[in-house]
Amino acid sequence: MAPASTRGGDHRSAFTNVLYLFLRRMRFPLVLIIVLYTITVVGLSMMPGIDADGNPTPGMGLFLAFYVISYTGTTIGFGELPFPYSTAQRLWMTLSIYLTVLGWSYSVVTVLSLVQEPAFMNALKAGRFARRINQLREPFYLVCGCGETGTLVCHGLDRLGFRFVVVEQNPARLQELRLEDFRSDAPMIVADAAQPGTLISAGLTSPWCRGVMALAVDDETNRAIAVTVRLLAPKVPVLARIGSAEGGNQMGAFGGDMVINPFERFARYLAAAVVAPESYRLREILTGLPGDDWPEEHRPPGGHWVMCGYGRFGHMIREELCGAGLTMTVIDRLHYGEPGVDIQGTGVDAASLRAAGIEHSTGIVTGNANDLKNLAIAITARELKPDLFVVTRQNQNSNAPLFKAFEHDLAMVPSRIVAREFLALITTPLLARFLAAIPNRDEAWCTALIKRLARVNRHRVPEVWSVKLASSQAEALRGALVAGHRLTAGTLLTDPYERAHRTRGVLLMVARGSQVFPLPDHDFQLQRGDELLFAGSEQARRRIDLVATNENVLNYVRGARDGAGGWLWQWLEDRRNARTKAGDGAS
Amino acid sequence: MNFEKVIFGFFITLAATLNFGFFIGDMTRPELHNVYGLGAALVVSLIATVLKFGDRTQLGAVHLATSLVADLQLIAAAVIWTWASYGTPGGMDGNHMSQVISMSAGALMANGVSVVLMVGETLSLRR
Repeated sequence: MAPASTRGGDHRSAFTNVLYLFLRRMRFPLVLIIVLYTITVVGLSMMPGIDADGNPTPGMGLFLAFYVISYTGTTIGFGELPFPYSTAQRLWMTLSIYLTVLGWSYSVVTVLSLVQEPAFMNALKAGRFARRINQLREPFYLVCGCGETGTLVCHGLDRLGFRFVVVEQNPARLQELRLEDFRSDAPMIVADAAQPGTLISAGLTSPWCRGVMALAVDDETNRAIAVTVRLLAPKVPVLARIGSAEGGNQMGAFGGDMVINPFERFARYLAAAVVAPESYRLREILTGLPGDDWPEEHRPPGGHWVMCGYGRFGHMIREELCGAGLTMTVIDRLHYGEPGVDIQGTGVDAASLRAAGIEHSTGIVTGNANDLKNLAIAITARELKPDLFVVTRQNQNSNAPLFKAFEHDLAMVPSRIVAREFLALITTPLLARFLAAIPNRDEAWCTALIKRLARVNRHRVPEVWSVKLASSQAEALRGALVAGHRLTAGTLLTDPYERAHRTRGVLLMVARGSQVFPLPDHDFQLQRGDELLFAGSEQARRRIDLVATNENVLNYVRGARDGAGGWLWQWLEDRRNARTKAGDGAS
Repeated sequence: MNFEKVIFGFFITLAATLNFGFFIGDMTRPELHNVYGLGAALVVSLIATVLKFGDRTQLGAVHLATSLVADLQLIAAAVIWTWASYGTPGGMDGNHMSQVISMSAGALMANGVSVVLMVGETLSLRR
């Protein structure tokens, strides 16, 4: 196969593949038709004819014979042209009719079977897929693997108004995803994402590709995806879900913090929720899906905890919670005897829970891979001690109604954790830097910020977005900075419709090179090249965008003077803008 | 022995020889050129073309191109022949015949190129 250097070439080659396959398969039917036509035409041209008076004539000749066979073979049938036939000609015509019909029907059947063949269909689908990716002219994300997490991520991207492309190896799962309701029509393909060719045809090297999410079932594939993206498109961020701990370390060479282990994440969050509930909550709010309900407040108590199930999840929880200064008794049957497991049992029965000291415990974590078992443990534990703080692990999305019915305190859904983290980090890369800064802050700081966030979006999860000052995304701001005007954080947060008011948004952070300034106050002086991270309502986002892009509005909120009204004034203004822009381009 | 190569070699050579048989003789004397000779050359040339469908090699593409040229020229010759025989008052004469033969000569050249390519390919394989 020819190397696909460009995406255009790739999509063409997918199309020519189909064409070549088609032509190759049509060889025999076409030769058959040519041969049958030759036999019938030559035979008919030589058959002696008869004229109107009944006198024998020589054959009708090649041209007329070809004419007659053409309309007979295609079953149009005009009758006996140009003269009524002789018996010899009629005999030969009878034979010709059957021969040509045979040839045509064989060709038609061949074409039909070719069209129905899976290989041909796949080639056709791949061609169409590549063409659609090629025509995609807006930012999109590549989602590899659409299990529960992948589906959640797709829905999240859809709600945020982003386009996405799905690559999934399992046709059944992709079929399910196709039935889901999405606002945009997402290109989807059944293919192995571990193959670099698949990712390239899915648009990895496209200038519009904004990120790749590796959410395949096995870690191996995700690792392969991450490596491929790092090498082929180094600027495209890649997030990979890696379940095993060793895998996470290996990935470090390629993507640093771009790897998410759901168990480890949750364990860390749970520990954080015990030690610093406010900072945990802040993180939950910022990574939540915009427009969702305000997350409930959870305050896991300190003291003694019981842990059921000591798999990968259990290890992480124990490590993190003990690190947070809690004590813990672990119940497990399979892993009994390993260091760390204290009680042999499942936890479903009251006896093992009592042995673990449930009476003097404050909380329990049910961390098995089996949902029903987790619920059974939770119910038993609740009966033994009604005020127990119960953390359940939910593995299957389909069991959500059961978990909803049970009044647990905290439910851990690995797929949801990964989906939320991925979405937040990949759509707003700046957010990762802000989140990294949170643990250094005290609880009071977090509480204050949470209160502000709750105010700006009426107790809904706020939108989080970033604005780059030097980009075309903020035309007016760039112009003002070039012109040397003084711009503060407060300017941007002024209501463009009434400058005495403030927009309902929070400036979370200003990033300047490698420096970050969390929660700058309104007098904070902005510079060229700054990147700002905002949180707020959708309305606030629109207003801040307006200030950032419209020079008149910017002038108004700066309090300089009103925007140009009359046409003459506007014209002068435009000329000035043009000059400013030209100056900007030259600098 | 590659059976596909045998079949293709057979047809491409046959197309050239049939065309040559039709072409040989005085251009202006219709009685020296048989319409069935032209028909046979056209049919065999068409089959040779179809046999190169879906061949992705460089040489296969050139073969396809040359035999398409031969088809085109032979079809033109056949159309001229038909028109001269049925569409003109005087029927086939030396003038028309020379046009038909010119067309078939062009096709013969294309056939020649195909044969040379095939022989060249065979020789390079032997090396």
